[in-house]
Amino acid sequence: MLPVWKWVLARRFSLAECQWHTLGNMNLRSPSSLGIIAALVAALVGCEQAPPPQFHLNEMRMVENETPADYQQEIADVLGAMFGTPDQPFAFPESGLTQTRLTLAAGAAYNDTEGVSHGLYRRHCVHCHGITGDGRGPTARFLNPYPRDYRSGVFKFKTTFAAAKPTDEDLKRIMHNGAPGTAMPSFSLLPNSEVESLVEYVKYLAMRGEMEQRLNQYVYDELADADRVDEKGNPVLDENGAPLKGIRLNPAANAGQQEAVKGMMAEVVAPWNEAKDQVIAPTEEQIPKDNRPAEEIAASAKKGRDLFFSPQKGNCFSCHGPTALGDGQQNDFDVWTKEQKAFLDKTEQLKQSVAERDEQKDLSDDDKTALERDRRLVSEREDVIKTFYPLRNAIPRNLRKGIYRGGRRRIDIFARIHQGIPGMPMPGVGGSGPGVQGTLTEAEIWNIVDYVLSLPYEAISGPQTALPENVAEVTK
Amino acid sequence: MSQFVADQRSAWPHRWAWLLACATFPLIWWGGFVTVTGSGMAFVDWLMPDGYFMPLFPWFQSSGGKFVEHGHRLLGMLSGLLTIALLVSLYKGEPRRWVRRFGVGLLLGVIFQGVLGGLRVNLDERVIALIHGCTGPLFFAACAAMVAVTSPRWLNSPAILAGAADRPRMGRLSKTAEPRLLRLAILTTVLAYLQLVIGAVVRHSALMTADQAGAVFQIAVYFHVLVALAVFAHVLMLAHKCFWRGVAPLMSASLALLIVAQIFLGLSTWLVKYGMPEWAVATFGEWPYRNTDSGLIQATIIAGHGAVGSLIVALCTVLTLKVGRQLGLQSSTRPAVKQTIAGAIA
Ligand code: HEC
Ligand code: HEC
Repeated sequence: MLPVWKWVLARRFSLAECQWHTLGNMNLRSPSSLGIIAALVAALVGCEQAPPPQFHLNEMRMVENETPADYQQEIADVLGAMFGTPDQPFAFPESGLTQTRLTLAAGAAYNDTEGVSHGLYRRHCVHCHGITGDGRGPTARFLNPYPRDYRSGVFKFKTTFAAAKPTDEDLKRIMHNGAPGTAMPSFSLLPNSEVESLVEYVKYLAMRGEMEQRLNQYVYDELADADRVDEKGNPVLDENGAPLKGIRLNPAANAGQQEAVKGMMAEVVAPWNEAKDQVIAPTEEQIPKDNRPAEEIAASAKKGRDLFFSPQKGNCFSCHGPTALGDGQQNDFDVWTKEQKAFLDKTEQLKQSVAERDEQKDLSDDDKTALERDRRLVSEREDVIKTFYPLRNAIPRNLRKGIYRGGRRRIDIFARIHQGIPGMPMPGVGGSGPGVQGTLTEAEIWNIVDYVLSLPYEAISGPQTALPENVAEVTK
Repeated sequence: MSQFVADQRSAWPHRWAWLLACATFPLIWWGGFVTVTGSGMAFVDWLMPDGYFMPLFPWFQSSGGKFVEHGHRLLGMLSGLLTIALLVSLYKGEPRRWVRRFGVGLLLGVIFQGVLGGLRVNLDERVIALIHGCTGPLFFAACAAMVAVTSPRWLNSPAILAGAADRPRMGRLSKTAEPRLLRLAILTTVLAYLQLVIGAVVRHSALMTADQAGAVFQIAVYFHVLVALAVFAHVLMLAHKCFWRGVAPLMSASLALLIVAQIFLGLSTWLVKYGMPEWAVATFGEWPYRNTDSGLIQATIIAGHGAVGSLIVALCTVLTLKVGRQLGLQSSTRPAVKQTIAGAIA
């Protein structure tokens, strides 16, 4: 209940409070209607409006890197200078983002006199994806799967190689189609221009998130600890005799830092601009025709099925299960969850180590300081863990339902199988880049595509008879 | 006294009340559309949309959010005008002073609601949208109550008619004179309204950007589910009792059907907006559909959930009034009314 209470006390609700307050002091029976309304209007207008929303830092990563609070503030400042705020986003020229589109997508939702919609992200996406694009909007906790956290720049359903960014077309497609079977709805009713603005904003949030992580790492690697100790391990003192606190992060006043930040920026932006050169291009002749005779499809699907159940080749059944119901290996996690899990595990270890050291009596002063420090760290980490949603396993898809989150065209399934699903355990079986040899040939992947697309219609007892004998061991 | 009332009354207040209620229901429905489609801020100003005097805005030439939002405003204006008409007719042909005052209250209510809606736009404030969404159904329930108290049946209600004892239905009806039933009716109405308020919190907190919005949303969802169970049980119990005791049997039956429909609408609302939660997927398999944001199905189901909720509150209110009426609560003795109600609640 505590969070609600905080919320009630927060400014956000103060409007309503003022109103009740005013009403409470009035004689409701009195017929002076205008008086009531006037008082109410005064009460409402008199109250301050809620503060504008802000981007949040990734607390988990800040704590993981033990980034001190003053550095966190500096990182936020640098990000603010580079990206602006949720109400006033800023497209730095190198980003290749279009400022007008960002402006339309950001800020509060309203239509202007010309009928142009503003604040698209807050109108359509924020309740799931969150103001920072961290996938933690108000509704997110109840969704399955959780909405995408854009900040690491990893996207699942795209036509590019696994390590590459999605193209604008990919993002448009997922927005147009939604992700069937998840909460991610289709926005096919939005005009194309609005979709383009939103795509721009998604990229913007992703870039901001990636930039934040780089800055965080930069502070960790270069600044925070750099000057605190000399070669002998003694703290370096400033002219007042106080230990030096490392170099401040302030690219505006420091040419070296400015260069470094520019470099990071280029690193973040480049993959986005190169995405269109990273599209998987299936060989034209190999692409199956749409008007193949049924026997040909069946023959191809049969080959595909052998590959699907072959431990050396496709190995699909090890996750998707011997019945393709998605009941193979179910205890893996996606990358977003893995990061949280690692954080949890490390916290658990630290806690144990603190507990063990607590038992010991003959601790030196240094050890005691270290212990105190770790104790503080544990409590900081636990605060972060409190904000986690329950960790969930990455469950392989039940392929017999014919629901494909990334699209049901043959080329979509081809891309999924060729490159796997980034962020998810599902590995790709095609080459990892243009011209790279994969586990399976393109022809074989097309066979699997045919098999996968035929699975919803296949009798469920079918594949079991065709299972390799040692399947029980393999799937274990 | 009752004879006097029956003679003097005009049929017009009742007719206007009906019209008003019939105009207000779509208004509520449409208000739901405004929220679902995110059209609340289609205009940044209220009263003078895009510089037009409100009734003159070229509605049919507008599209999208502006069409939805302006439609809501026009319907709201219609309700306002009908309330004025009702009030005039009340002052011309309604002898009961408290009913006339009730009419004044309705006018205040509709003005208040309109101003609230306007403030929501002019201040661009979600919390006001939430309050606006809670007071709307309250106004609708009041309209429904007005229909009930101006009806001939109310005036001719057996409980106050002289010589009612020799009416044949009286024997069965007298059994209704149970404060417990009134207590149940009041409790049900309050619960139904509470549920509506929680529902509004669920809907609007999702769209807030404050840091605590998530926590509020989550807690509101849990409460919405809990209170849904309570309302479901209470409404069915109330409908059951009223039906078999002959207190507005038709209305009771409708109420029972509505509450069942409402539960389905509620589940559907979740599904078309958020898909299936994890436990449901584990039990029933994946949500096999794709939702379309602001699509017709989504908008209809969600707005319908809100509208049916309002209808349930309104029907519960009317049923409560009828139960009270049959208990012999007379308008002329207001302290007695209060006492009886207090007794019933206690
Ligand atoms: C009702 C909640 C909801 C809303 C509203 C929503 N999303 Fe999503 N979105 C999701 C979920 C859940 C996923 C994760 C799907 C998955 O992992 O399979 C997702 C995934 C995505 C992805 C990642 C796709 C990929 O390839 O990895 C993008 C991009 C995206 N959403 C953009 C948007 C945009 C833009 C909007 C607003 C116009 C929006 N979403 C609105 C729930 C939502
Ligand atoms: C390591 C486990 C693993 C292996 C091996 C694996 N998958 Fe998957 N697969 C998954 C998971 C997990 C998902 C669900 C992804 C998600 O929810 O976003 C998935 C999803 C899919 C989908 C659905 C894509 C969509 O758009 O919804 C298809 C099709 C698929 N896999 C086919 C295959 C094929 C064919 C193979 C063999 C070449 C294979 N998988 C091998 C784990 C695996």
